[in-house]
Amino acid sequence: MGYTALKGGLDAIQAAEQLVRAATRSAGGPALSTSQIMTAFPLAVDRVMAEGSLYAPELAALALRQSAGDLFEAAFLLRAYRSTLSRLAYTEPVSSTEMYPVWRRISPAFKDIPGGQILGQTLDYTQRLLEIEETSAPASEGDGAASGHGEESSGEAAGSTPPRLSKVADVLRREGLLGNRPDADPAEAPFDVTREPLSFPAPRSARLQTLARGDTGVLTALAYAGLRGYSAADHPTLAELRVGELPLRVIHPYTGRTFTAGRLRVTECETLTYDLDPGDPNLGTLAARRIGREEPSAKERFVLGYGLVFGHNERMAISISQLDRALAGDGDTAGAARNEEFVLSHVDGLEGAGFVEHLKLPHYVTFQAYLDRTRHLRESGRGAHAAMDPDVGGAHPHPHPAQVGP
Amino acid sequence: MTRIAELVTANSAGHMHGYNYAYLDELTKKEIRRGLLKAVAIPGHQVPFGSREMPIARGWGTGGLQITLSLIGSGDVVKIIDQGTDAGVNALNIKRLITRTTGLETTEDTAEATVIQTRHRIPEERLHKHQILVLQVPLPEPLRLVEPSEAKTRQLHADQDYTKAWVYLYEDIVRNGQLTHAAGYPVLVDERYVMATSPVPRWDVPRFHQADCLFLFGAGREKRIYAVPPRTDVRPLDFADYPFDVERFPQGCAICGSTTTFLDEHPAADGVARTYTCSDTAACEKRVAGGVLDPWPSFSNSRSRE
Amino acid sequence: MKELLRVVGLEKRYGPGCPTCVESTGPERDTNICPWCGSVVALAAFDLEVFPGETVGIVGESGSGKSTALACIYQDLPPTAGAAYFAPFEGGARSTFEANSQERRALQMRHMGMVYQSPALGLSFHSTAGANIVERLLAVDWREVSGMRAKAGELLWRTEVPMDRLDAFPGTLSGGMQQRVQIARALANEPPLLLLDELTTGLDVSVQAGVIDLIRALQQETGAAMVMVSHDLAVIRLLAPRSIVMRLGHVVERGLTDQILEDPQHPYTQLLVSSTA
Repeated sequence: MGYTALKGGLDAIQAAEQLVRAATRSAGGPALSTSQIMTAFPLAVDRVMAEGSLYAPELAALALRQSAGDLFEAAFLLRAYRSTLSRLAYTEPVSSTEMYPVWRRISPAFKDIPGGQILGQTLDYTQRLLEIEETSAPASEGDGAASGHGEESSGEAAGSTPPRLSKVADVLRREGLLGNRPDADPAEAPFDVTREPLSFPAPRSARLQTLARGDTGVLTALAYAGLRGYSAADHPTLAELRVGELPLRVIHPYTGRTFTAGRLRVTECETLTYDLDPGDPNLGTLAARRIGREEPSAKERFVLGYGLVFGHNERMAISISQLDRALAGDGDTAGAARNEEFVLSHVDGLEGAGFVEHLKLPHYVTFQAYLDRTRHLRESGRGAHAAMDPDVGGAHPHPHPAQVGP
Repeated sequence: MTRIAELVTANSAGHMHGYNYAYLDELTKKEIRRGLLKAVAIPGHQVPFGSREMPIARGWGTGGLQITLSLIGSGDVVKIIDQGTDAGVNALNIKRLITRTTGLETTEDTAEATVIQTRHRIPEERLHKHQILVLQVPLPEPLRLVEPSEAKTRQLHADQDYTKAWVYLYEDIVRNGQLTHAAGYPVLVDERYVMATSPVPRWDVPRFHQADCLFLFGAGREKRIYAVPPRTDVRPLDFADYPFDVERFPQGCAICGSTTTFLDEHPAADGVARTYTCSDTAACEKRVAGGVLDPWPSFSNSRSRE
Repeated sequence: MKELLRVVGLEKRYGPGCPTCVESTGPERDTNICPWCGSVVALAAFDLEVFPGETVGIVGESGSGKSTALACIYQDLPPTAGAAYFAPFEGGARSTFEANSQERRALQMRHMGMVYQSPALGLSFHSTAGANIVERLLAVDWREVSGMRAKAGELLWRTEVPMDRLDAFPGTLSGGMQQRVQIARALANEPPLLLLDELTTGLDVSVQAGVIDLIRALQQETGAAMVMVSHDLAVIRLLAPRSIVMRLGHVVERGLTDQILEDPQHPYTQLLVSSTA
């Protein structure tokens, strides 16, 4: 009952916080250190960094510990902390062919690719069998060869030029099989979604940023809905999925020279689909000439859907590349996954969870207003007929959203 | 602290400790076999089933795996392929699970196998009446492209109302001048149900027609089973003047030289010198070793439809 | 069965219904809302016979139930009561309202053609004009693209739509042209019965005349029977020798159109005729 108490509210919320701390403190032993968390739960750290929109492994580990393992809360902590940091500069663009080392690189589009497939660190082919016999004594394999945190590579610091792996998409591009996206505008400066509110239609850079900090679950659900038919796209094929490190380059404010300030682990996904927009009214006259094969068919080339996220987050990167492709159309066609406003307004975990969970806040004032209307209707005895005749009864069973205060 | 292991019935006879033979419990297998019988009785009809959570991810072959695990027993020889090859990581992983939980023998030789589980291909060697091909299916609904709602597509199948699918194909021709549907080409089974073909390439689609073996299709995530029994009519949806056709390749296999098999394309770093090799690696190796293959009837696109 | 279509005691009600719904509504009561249970009686005791090749008009103001009757006959709307016997459906031995969904679809795609007042109801705007016509051919197993395109082209020519609009989306066509594409679609399988709902409403006067000429020509050429719903007496007079006058869900007068117009019996018909003349 505590949360609606008129007095002692502050004591109550402090006590609630204490309960969380007490419950998560391990029995007797010291609390997990951030480096232990980074080593044991690198994927949780990466997800928190991506959704938290802040590349800071140690802070993400700290957030995970403080939030009792709630990934959403941890991302929330990072986002809140992010607001305290100054925006000093924008990084210089880098090509992802500079990715080095590449921890993982797969191309489902081809059996073999120049540079080779690199399976790397993945849970994909583990069998999801609970290792029942090991519950009391977890195996300490200490393998950790791959991309765990705490051993960021030296990268360019080593002095030698790192090898470059060409992109699978480039093979298709050279053959003329890859078309330009209708919404690509290289001249346009990137939008900054952390500094400006979105307006629709949003530029592609705003779309990709919004998706890159979206909630993994929401992104997956929307991409999944698109694959199941709630989008007009055909079954896509991944050209390439990569996990590796990219240099972080900035221009020095005094010298004006570009230097590498550090390296970021990222996941990148490129998806191949056809550029199909059946809602295009010009297709009618085009199609008339089509039988004579004068106009190119929309299926004579592919277009790319793109996704890039902080950390090792394959599910996110793949989903983003699907949605990037799906949102390229005019949005009028069937399916929520193609509706830019629907997708971009609902992918953010903080916004979604925040508003859904606000229902836990006291609402007794607004509820009193509903109670009053309902009782009034019953007493006037016209409630039974109200639904049948639109002229009777002024009250709507569901108030307009604008009437409901948060 | 009670160890969870002690709560699990120990049942290890040549397979993994703590787990059932072939992973699933026997009642589940029976339930799936009942679904399979219904599917065989109504060729091409999607039978809903209570798909279980499996130790591999949804969309990675859980439907096929549940069918395979429900069917196999002592004496079976299992072959698992992905994109035509036994060496694919997903195939190896599924094979590993099957051998761990059954102790059964596996093979790469199509002719030796009794049950073959596959993703996206039908082997190049013809299958016979003692063999079952289990196909993994991501999207069992052939009408999904024209209708996203499951409730509506089930009604369309019940009414045998395939007009929307036909209009889609007609508009494809108007737009593109040809049938561009690439993989998973829709077919009409036994002159009744329109069915999604797994997706296999068009190359494999004619093999469903009047075959000797049993084809079983499992979609774990979508919770559907369907079947093409032996000696069943399976016709691709096409038009008299725009007939269904299979893929073409500019050259033969770089390893065995075959020009009668489906090939994988290998891009070169320069983007020019592409090479091709057999998708069915087991058949390719057999041919290189001088073995004799029993091929499927060759495809010709002159329509014989009386 | 001599008639092509015989409709008996058709009733369509929205609401819970009570034993006095029908007698408490209609022109005499000046309402179609039952005062006892609040149900709306959109159509009651509706009878209709249509003989092969003839055109029957249904006249009435909005809310008279004329479009509801058409929608029930076309199987778009399940009636509350009544039967419809249709010669192509089991020789008229069983009511079309007992058809299962598969039979219902065959009735709509093969044996009847419907032209809706709004093209948005009768056409798919995501498909080309050609595909809208071809859909009905595909439904009866046409399987040759060139043959279907030739047939669709011929139907467009007959309905005076320029042939080069075959692959245009309906949204790019004028209202009159959309209506003609609907007519071409309805004619595709040469059904013995065409249902036309407010065909000329919302069209320019000049376009109206063209559509009326088209229907006249089709009456001659196809020999299809037609049931034509309109609030416009002039259109009915031009096209339908026999007609029915409706008000508030009930038929108030029926007979030869000329007779009804010259010597209206029911006060409502008298009002209707005098206000048009």
